[in-house]
Amino acid sequence: MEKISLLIRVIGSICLVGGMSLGGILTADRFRGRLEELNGISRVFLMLRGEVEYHGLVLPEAIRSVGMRMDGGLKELLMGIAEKMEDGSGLPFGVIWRKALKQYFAYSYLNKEDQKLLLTMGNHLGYQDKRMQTSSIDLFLEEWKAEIEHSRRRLPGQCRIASCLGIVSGLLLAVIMI
Amino acid sequence: MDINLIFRIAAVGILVSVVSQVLKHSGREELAFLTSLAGLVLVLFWIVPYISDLFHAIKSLFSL
Repeated sequence: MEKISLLIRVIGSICLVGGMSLGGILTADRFRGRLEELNGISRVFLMLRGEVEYHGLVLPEAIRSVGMRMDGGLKELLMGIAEKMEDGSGLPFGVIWRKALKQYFAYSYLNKEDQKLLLTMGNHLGYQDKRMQTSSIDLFLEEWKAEIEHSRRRLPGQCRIASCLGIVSGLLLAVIMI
Repeated sequence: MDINLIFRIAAVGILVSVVSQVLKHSGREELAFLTSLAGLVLVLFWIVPYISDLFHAIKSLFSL
């Protein structure tokens, strides 16, 4: 009976430590995912700038063109925005942009500040001339790149802390509960 | 009193100090302080019944 009780405790400890360690690893993965997403969005806006400035495309076509070159969630986001703009519903770009982004944010790794910055772009695109749009995109990219640089510097430390805290918290809970 | 209690207190002490150091190095000193405080409260929670027994034993021993 005692052996079974000990076995159950050992299995419980292993499950607890494993679960908390996995939580720490997933948190570290989330930080990495955020950095990748920041880089992806930066690429999107760089391409969008290129389409507007050098090919002279209007915004829906530029967004569609960039969307076709992306993959994953960003592709869906951009293609969805392009379709809504081209379907003749008459909605302003800012409304379409905000609605599409709210759906995208549900599955993204971006934090609140990133989301706010991205949402503000809806107020600066879609109605200005070519020069103003490229200037708005340049300004956005300056801020976005500063955030990418800041996140890149902090990433190794954050991942190490998340993994370490996950494992140690699991051990601590195992000691307390068993 | 079980000898396991001493090992558990030692393990909690080591783990809390590791967590505290990690949090301090990441700049979260308030969290480190709260973690240390939580560890201390937990260990006191385990120890208090034995301290109470000790006081009762002393009282009965000296007929106070």
